Amino acid sequence: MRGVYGNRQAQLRLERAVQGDGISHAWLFTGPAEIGKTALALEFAKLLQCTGRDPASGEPCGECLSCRKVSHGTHPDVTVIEPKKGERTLKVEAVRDMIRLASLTPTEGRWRIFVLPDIERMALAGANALLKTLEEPSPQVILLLTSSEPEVILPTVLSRCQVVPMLPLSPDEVSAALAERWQMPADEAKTLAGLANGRLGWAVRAAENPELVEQRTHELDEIASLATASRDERLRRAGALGKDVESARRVLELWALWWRDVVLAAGGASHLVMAGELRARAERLGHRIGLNSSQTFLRALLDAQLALEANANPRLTLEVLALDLPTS
Amino acid sequence: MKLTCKQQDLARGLSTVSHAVSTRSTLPILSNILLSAENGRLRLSATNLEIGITCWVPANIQEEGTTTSPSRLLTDFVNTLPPADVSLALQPSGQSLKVSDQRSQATIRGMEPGEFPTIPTADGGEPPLTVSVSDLRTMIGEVAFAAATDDARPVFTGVLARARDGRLTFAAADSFRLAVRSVALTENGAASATTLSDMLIPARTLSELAKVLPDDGTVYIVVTPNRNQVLFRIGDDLELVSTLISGQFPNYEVILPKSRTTRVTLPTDELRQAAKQASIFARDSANIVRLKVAEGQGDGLTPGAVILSATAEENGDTTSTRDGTVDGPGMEIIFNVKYLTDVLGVLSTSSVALELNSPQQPGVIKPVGDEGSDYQYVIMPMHSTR
Amino acid sequence: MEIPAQGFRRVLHADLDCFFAAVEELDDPSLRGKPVIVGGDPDRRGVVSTANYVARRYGVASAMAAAQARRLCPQAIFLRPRFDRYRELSRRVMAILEDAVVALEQVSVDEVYGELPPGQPGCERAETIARRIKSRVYGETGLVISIGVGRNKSIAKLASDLSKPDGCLVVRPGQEETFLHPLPVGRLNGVGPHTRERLERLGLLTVGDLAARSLAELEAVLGKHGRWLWHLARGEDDRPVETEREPPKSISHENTYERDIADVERAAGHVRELALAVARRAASKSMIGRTITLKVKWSNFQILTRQQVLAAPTAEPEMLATAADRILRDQISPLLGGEHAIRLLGVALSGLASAHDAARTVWQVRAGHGMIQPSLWDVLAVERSIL
Repeated sequence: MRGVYGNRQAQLRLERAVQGDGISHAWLFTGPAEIGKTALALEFAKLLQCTGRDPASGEPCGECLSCRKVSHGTHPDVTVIEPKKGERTLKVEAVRDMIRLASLTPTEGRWRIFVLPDIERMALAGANALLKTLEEPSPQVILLLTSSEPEVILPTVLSRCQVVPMLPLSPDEVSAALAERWQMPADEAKTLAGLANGRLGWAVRAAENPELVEQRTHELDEIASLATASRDERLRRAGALGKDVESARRVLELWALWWRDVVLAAGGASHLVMAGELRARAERLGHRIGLNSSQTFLRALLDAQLALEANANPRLTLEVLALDLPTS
Repeated sequence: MKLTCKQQDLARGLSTVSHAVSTRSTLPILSNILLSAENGRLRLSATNLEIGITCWVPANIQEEGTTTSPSRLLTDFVNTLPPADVSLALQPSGQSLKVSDQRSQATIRGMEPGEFPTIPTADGGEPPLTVSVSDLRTMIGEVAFAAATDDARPVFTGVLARARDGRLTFAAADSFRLAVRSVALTENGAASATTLSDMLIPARTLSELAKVLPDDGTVYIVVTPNRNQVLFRIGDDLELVSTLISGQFPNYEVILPKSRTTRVTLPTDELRQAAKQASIFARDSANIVRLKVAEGQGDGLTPGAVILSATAEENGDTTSTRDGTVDGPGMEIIFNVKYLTDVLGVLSTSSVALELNSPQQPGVIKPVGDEGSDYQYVIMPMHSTR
Repeated sequence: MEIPAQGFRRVLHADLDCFFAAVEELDDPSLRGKPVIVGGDPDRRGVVSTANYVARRYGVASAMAAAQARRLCPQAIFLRPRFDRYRELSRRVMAILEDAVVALEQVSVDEVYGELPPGQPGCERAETIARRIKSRVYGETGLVISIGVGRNKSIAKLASDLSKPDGCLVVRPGQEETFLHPLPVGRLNGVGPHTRERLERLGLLTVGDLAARSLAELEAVLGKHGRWLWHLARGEDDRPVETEREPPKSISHENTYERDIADVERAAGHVRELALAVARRAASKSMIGRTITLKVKWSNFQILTRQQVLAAPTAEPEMLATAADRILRDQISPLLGGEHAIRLLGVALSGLASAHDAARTVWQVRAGHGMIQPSLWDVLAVERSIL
């Protein structure tokens, strides 16, 4: 599917699904935030509804009225269900509305498709209401769910979905996407891709918002330099990074992504490392502390993310990590 | 696009299609009306993705073309114009529509017509069912109200439409009552169908349809080729198209009582009035009404009767007795009075019959005297928790 | 040992020895002394129902593939079961038992629990009762029955099992430990090969080893099942002898296939048939269920079961078929292929409830004021559970 970048495996899986006879009624796209899960879901919807070409070709034509409506977000049978602006969770009423719509035949398309991004943010009551639709979907309804935290989704929901795991994009895929699709000059695209950690969505936002680039460069630098700082210095800086939950969450995510590079470098897979300018630092650090301790610390980072979600004190969480940080 | 038409025609057309304009939708274009000048008429369309209404207005077309215009603004403005010629002209740039008569003019900005949802047509579908407007209106009135209004079981929000052997049957139900009515399809040439596979039409669709039906004429009912939509064509200038409910309506025929023990017949007005009185007192006590059918005396002087009683907790009680012709033994049964007043509100025959089998089994209300009407309304009685 | 006021509980377990094979020998005396195997066709993937003791000496056992039984004992005489005849004799045996007990719980055509009158000073001894039953059964039917008596079901069953063939063993009050503790753990009801292996790895070889551990230890290893085993090992089991047969706990259908199935689409066809058969049977019993289980026996005889809990109980054929199909596709199909071909498929519906009750409770509304508004659709809900 030309409209999306990266995650070729996931794309192939969807293309094959369209070629088979019975298509599954519920799909769950999983993977980190901003790597294009919703974009792939929408492209899949476009493929399913395309009237310009046989969907079995695996590629929506992109030109028929149906494709254009999906692109513009005006297709009556492709509905994105999101929390209202300013709300973090999807309200149960929104799910109920959707369920009612889901009992009706499609208006103009082949299918009635609902795209539900980040369904871990759905209220429990909503998820339960959704269950019935997942269980007994009308023959023409397809639900496309996405989640960056599939582990917190109700198992009953999870078990009814075809799961499509997705990964962060490689820096090359990100820069190619930025250059082709968003007409960005090659070197600029490359720099941004280096910072994006495989998240095309972030890169696209950052392209329009230089502050994001600045902030990320700064935070990455802070994180990377923690490893060589003194104990007191580490504590002080970690405390500053964890000044509130939001920033602690962001920092932890970034830290985990960067540390993934350290682990890759330690394991001798430097070619997969993403963090552009910081690559050399990741490599040096990786080689110095070795695979075992780098992996252990990555696990600690992931645990810390979970702890934060469970309302751990952000500052304390980051301080503990800073103390546990392996040094040579 | 450039045309002239009569204000009265345009206003009526706009008012008709505005029934389908979406008031709350994620797609902004749905608050617009699609205007299309073509084949010597002005076509107006609106859709809320569940229902689409299209209507054709006589017009003098100077230049064909298509645009969309915000429904409220356009309709309200046209309504202020006097009954005379109105001109519509699409401005060369953008989607601005100039609406004018001799003294006033307005420019209304619209949206790209390409974004407007495709409203299906019946082309290529099966032959239509043909039914008279008055029959359809009666069916909708007598059946659609019985459908459920909550979405817990979507199939019950629909009206089952079934055409078999030249008759069209509508059935609607919720968990506690069922209304069924059928009419003869009109023989209208070889092109008409007499049988069609079942479809489940949203009850709201039919309520909206009832609002836009003209006083008389013929309705053609067609299912679109992909079987996703039903289309009602009325005359040659009005079409209403609706999505269907997916799912299977339960086999209602199984629960239609096949026999009766007791039957009471009485004037509809009498029962309606008695039910109304009882409902006032039943309001605060879960609408519980006790309905007693009393046999007449063998002397032929004391007629049979229906006695409705209800108790308003702490506030008193009521008993209403209405004479009726009773066939069979006396019986007492408890109903939710709302289910009685609902049906009595839509029946137009002078008399009704209530048929009972036992206090635990469903009761049936049937109109009496209306030739050819096979209306049946089934109500499940209540019983005490003991 | 102190005698409780109401007396000792005395539970009897009786089991007809090699029942099917014994009936065949009874009806055709020329079979005596020869290896007899009753069950499916060895050429067509049948399973052994019963083997007589002669065949058992060759290693033939119940539930073994008939083909394997023939390899072990090529000279065996294979017979197809005649269930009507077995049921007829079974009824006669049960009638004899009925005379001796205060409550009877028939577990299967050849196995039964009975509750004897409580043991009190001066009452008839359990041995006497058991011997009388045995001789009446032999005298009136020609069949041999093994009987065990103990203070609960589990001990009674162990006693009859251990005394077979032609057994009669009474475990007297106070002797339970002496009886139980030396037994290998695998003898306990509920210890399959898998659990046995886990227990043995912990050094728990005998029932006595198990009883010596603390409840907490066993619970830590085996959870709830551990608690159950711990009580059994200590001779504790308060399950009553249930005269009324409980409603079935599950409704299932399974089938062994003549050729192994390696293709998911073929398996899907069979799973659908099985699910529809389960739905039919559930409907005939007016039962609905909430859990659907798919059982697979691979060609290497390993068994795998996977289940799915439905949102609401149902017996609706399509819903069961869809659920079973989903389990097949999601959980079994990834394992299919290579050495893993399917020999047997089974579909079961459990978590059963009466469709009547369920329909009522789901559909009716409490109207308040002591009133219930039942639904018009109860009758249909029962019929097809359109919940």
